[in-house]
Amino acid sequence: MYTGFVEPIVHTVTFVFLLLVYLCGALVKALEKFTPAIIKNSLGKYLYKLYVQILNLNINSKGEKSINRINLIGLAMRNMLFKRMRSLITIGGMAVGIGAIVFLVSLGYGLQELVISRVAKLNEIKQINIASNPGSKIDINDKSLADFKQITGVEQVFPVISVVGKVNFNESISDMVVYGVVFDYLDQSSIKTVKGKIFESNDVVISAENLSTLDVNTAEQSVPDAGRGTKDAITTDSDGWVYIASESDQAATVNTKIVVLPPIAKREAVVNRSMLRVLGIDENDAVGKRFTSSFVATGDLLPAGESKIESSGDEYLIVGVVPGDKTPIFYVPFIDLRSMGIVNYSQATIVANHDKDVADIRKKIEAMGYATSSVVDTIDQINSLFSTVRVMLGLLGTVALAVASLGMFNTLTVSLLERTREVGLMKTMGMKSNEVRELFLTESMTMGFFGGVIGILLGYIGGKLLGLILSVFSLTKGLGFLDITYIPSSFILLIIFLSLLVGIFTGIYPAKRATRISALDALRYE
Amino acid sequence: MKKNTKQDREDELTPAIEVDTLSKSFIVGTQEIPVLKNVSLKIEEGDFTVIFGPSGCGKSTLLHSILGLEEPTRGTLKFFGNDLYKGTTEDDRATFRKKTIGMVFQQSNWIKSLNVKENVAFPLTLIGVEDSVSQEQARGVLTQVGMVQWADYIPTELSFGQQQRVSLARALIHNPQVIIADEPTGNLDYEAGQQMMQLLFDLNKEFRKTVIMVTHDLEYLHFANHIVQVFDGEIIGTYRGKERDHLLKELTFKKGTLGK
Repeated sequence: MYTGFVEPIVHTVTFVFLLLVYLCGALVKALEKFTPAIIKNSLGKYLYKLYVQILNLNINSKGEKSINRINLIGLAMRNMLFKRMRSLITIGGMAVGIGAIVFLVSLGYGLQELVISRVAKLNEIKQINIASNPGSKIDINDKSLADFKQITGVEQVFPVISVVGKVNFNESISDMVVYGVVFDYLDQSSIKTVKGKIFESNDVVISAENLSTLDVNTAEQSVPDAGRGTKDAITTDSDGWVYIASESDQAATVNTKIVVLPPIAKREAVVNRSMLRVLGIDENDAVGKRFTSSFVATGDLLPAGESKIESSGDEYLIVGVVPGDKTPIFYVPFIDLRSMGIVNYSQATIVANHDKDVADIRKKIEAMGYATSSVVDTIDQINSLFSTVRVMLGLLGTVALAVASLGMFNTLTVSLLERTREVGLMKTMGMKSNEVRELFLTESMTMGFFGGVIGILLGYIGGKLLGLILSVFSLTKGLGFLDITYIPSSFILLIIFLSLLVGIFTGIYPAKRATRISALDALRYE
Repeated sequence: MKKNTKQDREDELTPAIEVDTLSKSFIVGTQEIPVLKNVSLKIEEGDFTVIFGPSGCGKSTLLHSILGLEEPTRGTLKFFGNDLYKGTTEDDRATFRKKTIGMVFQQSNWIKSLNVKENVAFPLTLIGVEDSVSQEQARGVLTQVGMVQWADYIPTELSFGQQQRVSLARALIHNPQVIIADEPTGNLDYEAGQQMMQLLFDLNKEFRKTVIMVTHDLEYLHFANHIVQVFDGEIIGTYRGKERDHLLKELTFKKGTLGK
């Protein structure tokens, strides 16, 4: 029944409260010898009044003239103190068992944190990447950007254009991947400049007069496109390599529009290390150098009617260098590529206000017909993996706890057998059966509680010690201190609850047996 | 004349304990062994009753019945007019015991993890009295029995005589109406035994506490005003007043060693 389940939980929670009250009271009494009379009189009286009020609470005594729960705790504690060695060993066993669980599981949490922090910087958790679904006619354009901005929880929207760049440097021409991005996009991404800086342009919108103009020399050329198909697809694989896939269409006659970039184009580039290697430029000399590049935009990015637009070639100034050892990539201001007449964008990145909103925003965007991806997917996978890891670690630690529990069960049963006469006496003097049961349960729960608290400390210290030892190695490698364990507060509560549960389960049998002791056992014994 | 009115008044008062045709048998294996056979007894408030008889005669069982620990096979037992066994649970009887009765045993029985003061305070703890209050009262009763200087000792560190005095203190602390003692002088030497009995006697006289004592020792019968003789599960005689005096004379004559 519902009530049957809630009552023991309330009983357990109030037990912890009363235990803490008792311990505070004992502490105050112990310190009484050291406090000067002044404090004793004022503070002491106040504390005593408070104590009496707590004693009269319903959770402590039920109003009838009967032994109250704090008294039972006191009796239990006195009995534990009486058999000091035995109690210490029993609690110690529990502490080791709990400590093992805490140590192992905190390791799981710590490693999870470590991995996630390597995978995703704080910013990336709030970012969503949007792309068109393959084969769909739904493009990302200015209107889409406006729509995205309307979604609740969206803080910023950055469009990205990716085209092919024909780079001319020192008489050699290479094809490279070019991304047209705004300053904010690079600034908030995990890509950080190692030399120089990012270009300052954040412009997205372009007015008609600022669009590229047709190159008077080569306007409206019909050029057979040798080896180049109508569709260039730029894809990134899971290792970070970027491919330019060309779909060859033999009999295609492509109408290529050659344009001249307008004056508002910034003509600044941020290049990656791989590109510098291809061009043969040393990283330290890179900033300030110039290269010539023309951009080729095809099909999907262009408005209807256009099949290919190529810029006539401009001199670009290298303003910054970013890491990247795989595909040669460089970043140019979004506005430069936009001014070519590109109306559809390759992808867009959204920054949400809060990582909690990410899932909802993604749903809405996917409903619009786009594909979304987010580092959250990876994190979810990692979390799920580590959940499993933690459970296994926990189970491992539980073996130690099981052994300790058996020890405690043994202690309690032996303790009971020794105290048969004592229990008989208490019953003769008027203690009820359920009060006797509560006494023994109190003892086991108290020992469980202490074992749990000490166990958490042990597990915590053990974990930090391990981190310290490993740090010795990592420091020599220049990687700084390693902290590989982490204990969330919810886990601490769980462990306290677990140790109380162990206390209950190990104590329930001796407690029940105690209720069956006849009061006459105290009187007969000769 | 005074005697008559006193006698009349006594007849009208509800007796403290009224045992009516009580029988108790124990089942051992397949046999039913009768321990108490049709016992009837009236104990008035303020009596100092001594129940005596040889070992195994059933007096302890009678005492246990009075305590509410041994449900009779037949018959009734009333305490201040209330039936102790009919319509009551074990818990009810436990509650009754802790409020109404103080006990002294032959062998001192202690809660080993508590000291003298705390053991004496225990009956008050059982009725929910706060620790500092109960321990203060414990000191009080310990002073009455002359044992207050041992308050912080462990009970088992004391001599038997001292332990019995502390036992008595424990039996008194909650101001019970009835004191029940099961062979309290059993393990004591003559001196200690006399001290014990004198204490009980004084309590009985000064505070009008009903005292019920069980013993097989004829040494202390003269402290009682009400003597009950038990033999083989039956009460073979109850003596008050003149009959009591007569009995004592007889026994003194027989024993030849009793003092007055």
